[in-house]
Amino acid sequence: MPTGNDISEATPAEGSKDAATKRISDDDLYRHSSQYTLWSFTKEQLLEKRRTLNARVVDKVNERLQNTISSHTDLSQDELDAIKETAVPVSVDEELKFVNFFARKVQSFCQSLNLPTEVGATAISFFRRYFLMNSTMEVHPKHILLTSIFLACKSENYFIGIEAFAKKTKSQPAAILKYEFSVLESLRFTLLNHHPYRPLHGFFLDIQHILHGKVDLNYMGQIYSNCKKRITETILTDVVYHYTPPQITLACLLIEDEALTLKYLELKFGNVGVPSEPESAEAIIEEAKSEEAKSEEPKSKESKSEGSKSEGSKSEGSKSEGVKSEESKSEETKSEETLSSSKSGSTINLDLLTALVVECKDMILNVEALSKEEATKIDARLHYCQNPMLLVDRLRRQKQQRDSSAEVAAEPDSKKLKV
Amino acid sequence: MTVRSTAEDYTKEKKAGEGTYAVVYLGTKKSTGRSIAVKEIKTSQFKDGLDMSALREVKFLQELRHINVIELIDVFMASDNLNLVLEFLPADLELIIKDTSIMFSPADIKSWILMTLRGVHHCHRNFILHRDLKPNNLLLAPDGQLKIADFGLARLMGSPQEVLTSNVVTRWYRAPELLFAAKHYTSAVDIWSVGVIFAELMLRIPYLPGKDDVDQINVTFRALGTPTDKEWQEVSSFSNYNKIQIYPPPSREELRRRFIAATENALDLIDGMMIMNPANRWDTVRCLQSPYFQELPEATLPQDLPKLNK
Amino acid sequence: MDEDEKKDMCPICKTDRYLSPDMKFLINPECYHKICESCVDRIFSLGPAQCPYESCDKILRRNKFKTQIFDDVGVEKEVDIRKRVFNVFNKTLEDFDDNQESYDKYLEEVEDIIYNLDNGIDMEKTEERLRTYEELNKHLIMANLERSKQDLANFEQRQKFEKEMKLKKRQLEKQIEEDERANREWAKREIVNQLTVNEDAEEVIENVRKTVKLKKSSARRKLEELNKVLRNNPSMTMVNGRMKKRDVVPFTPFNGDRDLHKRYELVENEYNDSFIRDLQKKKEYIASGFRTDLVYNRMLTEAFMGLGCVIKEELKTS
Repeated sequence: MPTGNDISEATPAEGSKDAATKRISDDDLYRHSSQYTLWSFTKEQLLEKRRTLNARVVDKVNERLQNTISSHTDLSQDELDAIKETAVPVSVDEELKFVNFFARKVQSFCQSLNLPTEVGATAISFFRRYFLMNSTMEVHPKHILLTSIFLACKSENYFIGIEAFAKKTKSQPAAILKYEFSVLESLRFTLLNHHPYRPLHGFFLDIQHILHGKVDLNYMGQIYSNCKKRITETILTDVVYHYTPPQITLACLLIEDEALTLKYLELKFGNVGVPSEPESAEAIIEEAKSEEAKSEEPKSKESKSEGSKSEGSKSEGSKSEGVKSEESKSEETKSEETLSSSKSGSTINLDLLTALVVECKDMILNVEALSKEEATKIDARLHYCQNPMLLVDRLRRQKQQRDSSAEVAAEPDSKKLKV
Repeated sequence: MTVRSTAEDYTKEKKAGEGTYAVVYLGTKKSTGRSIAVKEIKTSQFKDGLDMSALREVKFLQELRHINVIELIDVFMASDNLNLVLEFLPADLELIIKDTSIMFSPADIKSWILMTLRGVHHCHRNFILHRDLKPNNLLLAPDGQLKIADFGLARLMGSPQEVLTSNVVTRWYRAPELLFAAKHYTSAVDIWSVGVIFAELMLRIPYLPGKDDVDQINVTFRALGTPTDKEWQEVSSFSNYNKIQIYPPPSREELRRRFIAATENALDLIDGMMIMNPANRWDTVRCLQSPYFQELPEATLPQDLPKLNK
Repeated sequence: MDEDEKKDMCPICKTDRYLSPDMKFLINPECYHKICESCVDRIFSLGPAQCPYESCDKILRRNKFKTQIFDDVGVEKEVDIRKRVFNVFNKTLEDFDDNQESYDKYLEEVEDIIYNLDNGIDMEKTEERLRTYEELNKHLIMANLERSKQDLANFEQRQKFEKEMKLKKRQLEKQIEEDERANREWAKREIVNQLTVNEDAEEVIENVRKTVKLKKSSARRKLEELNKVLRNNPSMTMVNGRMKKRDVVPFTPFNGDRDLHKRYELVENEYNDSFIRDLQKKKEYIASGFRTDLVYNRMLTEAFMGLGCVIKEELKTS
C-alpha cells in the first residue's frame, strides 16, 4: 500500500501549463517505454506490418527474377521451370517461421556462451525486432545472429570485446560489426527491453504473501524455475508484441499450475470481500473511491483505450460470464469495460484479466516450430530468389556431372544451415 | 514503411564543443525552427563498434520523458556516424555557480535542487542510475528548467547478484561507498551527488574537492566524519578502510556555521542526503517530501531564476 | 453623575468598577448595549431573553456576548459590521484581473452596504443583498477565505525564517567580536614576541597587521553572506499578486510522478527467498548498502507494471 505523505499529492497542478503534471501510474510508466510505444502491436497491426514488408520485397525479387529471365535468353525450359519452382519468394508465414528458427539458434548460441538469461533474451528480442523491419530476402538471418548477441552483451552491461567475442564464436570481427549500425537503426535506436523475469520474481513473492500458509515453499521454488524456462520460450514468440511482461508471466504461471494461479488472482483481484484478505479488498475499494474524488485532472492523454469507453454501460453481464476466453472476448467488446478502470488505475477487473491471460496462454501453447527440412527448403529459396543464376549454374553443373559420372551430386544446401 | 529521419531534417550551424567520443553542434530542426544540439558520435575510433557511453545515452534517453531530463528528440545515422538530436540547453549549473557576477537566493537554490531531485526521482522510478551527477551535467533551458543530461555512465539498477563498477561519478561527487570500491551499491550514490551539489550551491565553491582519489577519501571524512561499524555495518570490511584517518563527525552547530544561510529544514535535507551509510541515506521520495520544500521561501519559479549574463 | 463615572458602572446592577475592579463589561452585537458580566450570567442563564435596557426590545443570546474592544460603541458596531460584510465580500484586486476601476466600483458597493447596516437604512433589503451575494459566490468566498488563511500562514513562516536568520546574525556578530578580541590580544603578544628578535618595530607591526588582516574571521564573510540573503530574497518580501496566486495551488513535491496505488503490499517476513536472503548475509552486500526491501520493491513493482495495459485495445487503430 502507498506509503508516506499522500495528501499533498491530491492535485498536481503546480506549473500546470507543463504537460508533465499528470499523475503517472506504474502502468503509465510502461506506456512510456519504447517497448510499448514502438514494439507493441495488435495482431492485425503486426500482420499488416509483416505483409507490407514482405510484399515490398517480393515485388523487388519478382522484378529481379523477371529481369534475369529476360536478360538470359539462353535458358532452357528445364532451367526456367526450376527457377519458377525453386527461386520463389517466401511468404509472410514462411519468413516468420524462418526467423524464429534462427532466433532459436541465437538462443542456443547464448547458452553455449554462458550468457546471463537476460542478455540472451535481449539478443533474441533484437534479432526478432530486426526482422520486423527487414525481410529475410534482403538480409539473411545468419548475418544478424552474432551481431544481435554482440549488441545485446553491450547493452546489458555484459561487455565482451570484439576480438574475444569473435574468437569465442569462431567468426570475424568485421562480419559482426558490419551489421551493428544496421541493427541499431532497425531497432530505431531503442535498446531497453522489459523481460518477464523480474515480474516473475515479483509474483513469486506476492503469491507467497497472498497465499500465505497455503502454499508449499519448495513447490513454489519448483514453479519459479519452470516458469523461468517457459518465459525464455515466450521470448521466441509473438506474445511479446501483444502482451505486457506481467501478463506473459501470469500466462506462464497459468500453464504451470492453473489452480494455484487462478486462486491467487481471485484472492488478489476478486472484489468481493474475501475472508483471508478482507483489508486489502476493502482498501482497493477505498482507493477507487478516493481516486474518483480527486481525479478532476484530465486523463485524456493516456486514454487511448479509456476515452472511448468512459461512458461504459455498467452492465454487470460480463462479470459473471466467467473464465472462458472465447465467450469473454466477445463479451468484452460489447460491454464497454476496461481491465484497469479509467477512474482508478490500480484496481483490476479480475474477469477481464483472467480472459486476457488465458488468451496469452493459448497463444504461447500454439506456437508452431519449423522443422529443419522446411528451414532448409526456405533457405534454398532465399538463396536462389536473390541469385537465380546460381540455380541455373548449379543445374548446369549437375547436368555436366550427370553426363560425366551419372552420379547425383549431394545437396549443398544442408551445409549452409550450419551457421 | 516507416519514415526515418536523416541529416536532411536538421541544420548544424556551429560547433559547440568536442569531447572524447563526440562532437556537439548547434542547429535547428528545419521543419519547426526549433533550436537543437546534435551530438555526433565518433564511431570510427572504436574497435568494438558503437561506444558504450553513446549506447547508454541512447538507451536511457529513449525511455525517459520528464521535464527535468534532457529530451532526446531524434537519432539518425549519417555517413556512418551516429547522431543524437538533443534539445538545445544553453547553460549549466556549473557556469552559474562559477559566475561571481550572478547573485542567487535560497529560493533559487531550492528551485534548482527541487528540479534536480525530480529528475533523479524519475530516473530512479525507472530503475535507472545516473552515476555522474554534477553541476556541469545539470543543464539549464532558456525557460529556466533544469535538465539532467549526460547518461553516458548510466545503467539499470543491477540484478542483486551483478557486480557493478565503482569507478563511476566524477571524483568530488562520489559517495563514500564508491570511495570504498563497493560493488553492489544502490541508487543512494546519486543522492549523495545531489547532496554535494546542494552544498556547492550554498557555498558557491566545491564542497569536497579532493585532489586525487586518495585525497578525496580524506577530504570527505574530514568534512563529515569517518564512518564506523556502529552506524555503517561492515564498513570496516572494505579493504581500504584500515588505511584511513579517523575524524569525528561535525556537530550540528558546526554544520549551521558551515551553511550559514541554511534553515534547519535545509540542514536536515542535506544531512539526509549525505548520510554515510548508503542503506540509511534518504531516497528521492524522502528528499522530495522534506519540509524544506514546503517552508518559505518558496522555490523560485524556473522562469524567474538567475541566468547567465550574455 | 458625570460621563466618566457612568462609563465604569453597570447600568443594570449599578455595580461600580471602582469597587469591584474585576468587573468586565460585555456587549451583544444585536444592540451594543453594555452589560456587566455577572448581569449577563444572571439574565441569560436560562436562555434567550430581552435586553434589560429600557426601550430595547432585542432578544439576546448569551453566547453572542463579547468583550468590548473599542471605547466607542459606535466604532465597535461598525467594526463588527465591516468584519461581517468583508467575510462575504472578500474579493481582492486580483479577482478583477487587476482592473482598478471595477475593483473600486465593487468597494463602493460594499461601503454602501456597510453604511446602510450601520445606520439602519433599508435594513431588510440590505440584509437580503448580502445573503444573495453570499449564495451566488459561495465558491469564490471560500477560496478567498482559504487564501487569506494561507497568507497568514506564510506571513508567520516568513517571520519565523527571519527570526531564525536574525538569531544566526546575532551569533555571528558575537563570534566576530570574540574573534577580534582574540586577534587583538594575539597581535599584542606577537608584537612583543617578535620585538625580542627583530629590532625594527615598524616592520614588526606591519607584519603582524598583515597577518591579522588575513585572519579576518570566516564569521565575517558569513555575516556578509547572511546579510545578502536577508537583503536579496525576493520571495521573502514579495507580497504582490503573483505570489499570492501561486499560494492557492498546493505545492506538489512529485508533480504527479509517483504511483500512489501500488498493487502490492511489501510483507518481507512472508517471503521465502533463499537467494536474496543469502546475499543479505554477505559482508560486501551489507557494506554496499544492499537492502532487501529495495530489491523486493523493484521486483514487485515490475510484476504489476503494465498489468493494466491491454495492448489490443489501447493500440487499436480505428
